[in-house]
Amino acid sequence: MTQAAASAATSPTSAPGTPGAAAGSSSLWGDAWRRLKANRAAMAGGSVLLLCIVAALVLPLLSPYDYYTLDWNHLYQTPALGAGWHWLGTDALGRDLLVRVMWGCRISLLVGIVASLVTVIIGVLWGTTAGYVGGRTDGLMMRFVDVLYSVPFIPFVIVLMVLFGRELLLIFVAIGAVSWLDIARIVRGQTLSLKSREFVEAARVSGVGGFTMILRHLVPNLIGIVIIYSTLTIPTVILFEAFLSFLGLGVQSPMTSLGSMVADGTSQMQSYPHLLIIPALFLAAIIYGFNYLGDGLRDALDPRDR
Amino acid sequence: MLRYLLRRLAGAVPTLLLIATLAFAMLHAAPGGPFDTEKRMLPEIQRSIEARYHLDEPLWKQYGRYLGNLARGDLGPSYQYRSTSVNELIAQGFPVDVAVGGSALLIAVLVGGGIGMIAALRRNSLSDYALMGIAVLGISIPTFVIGPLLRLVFAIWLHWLPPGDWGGFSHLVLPAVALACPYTAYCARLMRGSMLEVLGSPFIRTARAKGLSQPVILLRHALKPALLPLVSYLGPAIAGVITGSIIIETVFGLPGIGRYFTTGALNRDYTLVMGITVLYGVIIILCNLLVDLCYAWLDPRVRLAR
Repeated sequence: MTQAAASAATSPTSAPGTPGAAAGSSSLWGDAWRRLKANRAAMAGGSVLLLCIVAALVLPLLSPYDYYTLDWNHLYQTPALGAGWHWLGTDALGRDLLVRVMWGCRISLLVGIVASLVTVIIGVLWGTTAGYVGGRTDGLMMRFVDVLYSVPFIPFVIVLMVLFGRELLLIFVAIGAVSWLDIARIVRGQTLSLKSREFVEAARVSGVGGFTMILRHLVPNLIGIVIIYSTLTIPTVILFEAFLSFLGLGVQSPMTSLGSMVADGTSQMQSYPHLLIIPALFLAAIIYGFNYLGDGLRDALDPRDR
Repeated sequence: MLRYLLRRLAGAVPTLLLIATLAFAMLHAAPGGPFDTEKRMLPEIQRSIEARYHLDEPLWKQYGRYLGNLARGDLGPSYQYRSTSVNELIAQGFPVDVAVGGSALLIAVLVGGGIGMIAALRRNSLSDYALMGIAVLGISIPTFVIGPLLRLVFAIWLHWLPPGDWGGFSHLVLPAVALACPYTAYCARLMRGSMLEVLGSPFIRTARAKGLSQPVILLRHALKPALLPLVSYLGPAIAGVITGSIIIETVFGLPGIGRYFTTGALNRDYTLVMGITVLYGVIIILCNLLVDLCYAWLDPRVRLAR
């Protein structure tokens, strides 16, 4: 643990900054991209993700059905290929499963990405401010984070969703506001090590201070770790939205998310397994994709473990 | 040591106060009250009910009363289950949660740690990839899918275990396993990473050079330091198990407190929701303390009282 922390303090120097080592051809991002391309699991994960995103964006536009169109003649249909058919079958109300799964992907990805953005923004600002200002402010801010760590957030989110309506926007904000603690800690640690570096001192000497220093000089140097972390936060958020959906507190019908489709499917899995299997496959694919991509990014952007 | 414990426990008081205050504020800020029914009630009756539960008093007075009772360990009467106090509800349900959650954590650490160790020892072999693939699968399938699936296979098809309800040991197995799945997977990933790091460190090389056998090296030298990340993961894992138990109790129909929570929130059972939230806070605080103590025991470099 201590070892890792110590090497974390020195690692940025060896990778990005040193002008001698980065002789022309390979910048930090070029290097990272090369390493990422060599990582087959990460590339596979990324491709699956890209495929899901493109499909989720395009397929609903091509399909003759909407996510809310009812087809009373084809209830609980099993998947069947052919023109004019429901390719992945239909659900209890005869709604086309393909279109619904694609809408589910859209919503789940949207929830995941937006909530992670909220998380990252709060966490990075909090962490850099605490780390950069230091002293008593730092102590106070991090003590606050420690206290929040002991707050059972899930009950609070449940209460929030129950009492203040089940709005999509609220889901984003609630999840984002809950999960910024980890990243604030990580970012603070990184900031502490960046703070003593020459470029920060140079900037300070030339009169940069306060918020500009944080936004212009510290945050850009944290992008690597932030990208890694957000890639790994998105799947957690998607699963959390699924959890809320299971309790009936997530996205509301007729709109849907992968999580709520899986939750619906579970209740009918004995009679109509396709209603569970198909959305579960997409959910798993997206979460697999983000996890492997995130691991790959960590290896690529943060090569000290090799 | 004793001083450290006392200081930590004293530090928990403001945290608990914050949790109680947040819960109180959120519930009372929400539109609607616990006794607003759809049927029109005679105003006198409504008033007398509200007077009985002190809901007619000004908010600051209610808050003071609530905190005073809380300090004496009295969580108040439940609004929804008339004539039962929240303390009684918790006393009935909580042992179930402890049994299920505790066994789930035990499974996660033992099985997950074991899998991670095997994967680390056979690094980059086929079994390593297979085990880690399964681990990501375990992380990416929501508990509310694993639970019903396990029940379908082991209770309904094979008749090996009871499908739900609460009784002896056999009733504990399925819920605990289902709840443990994601944490087992995560522990396996953590253990693999830390074991690889430890096995590459100089003191293991020294042990090898001394000619110690593989089991001795692993169990006497490598295990303790490799467990560190696992132990620090236990803090968040406990919070997660609490969340998961809400779902598991719904799926298997267990008489724990998790399922009271959602219905309590839906029915505006203020005292019940606040009581359970505070209880969760206490659990998380105590477990975090326990984790820190374990940490100091595993890693002598950590000094508790700084």
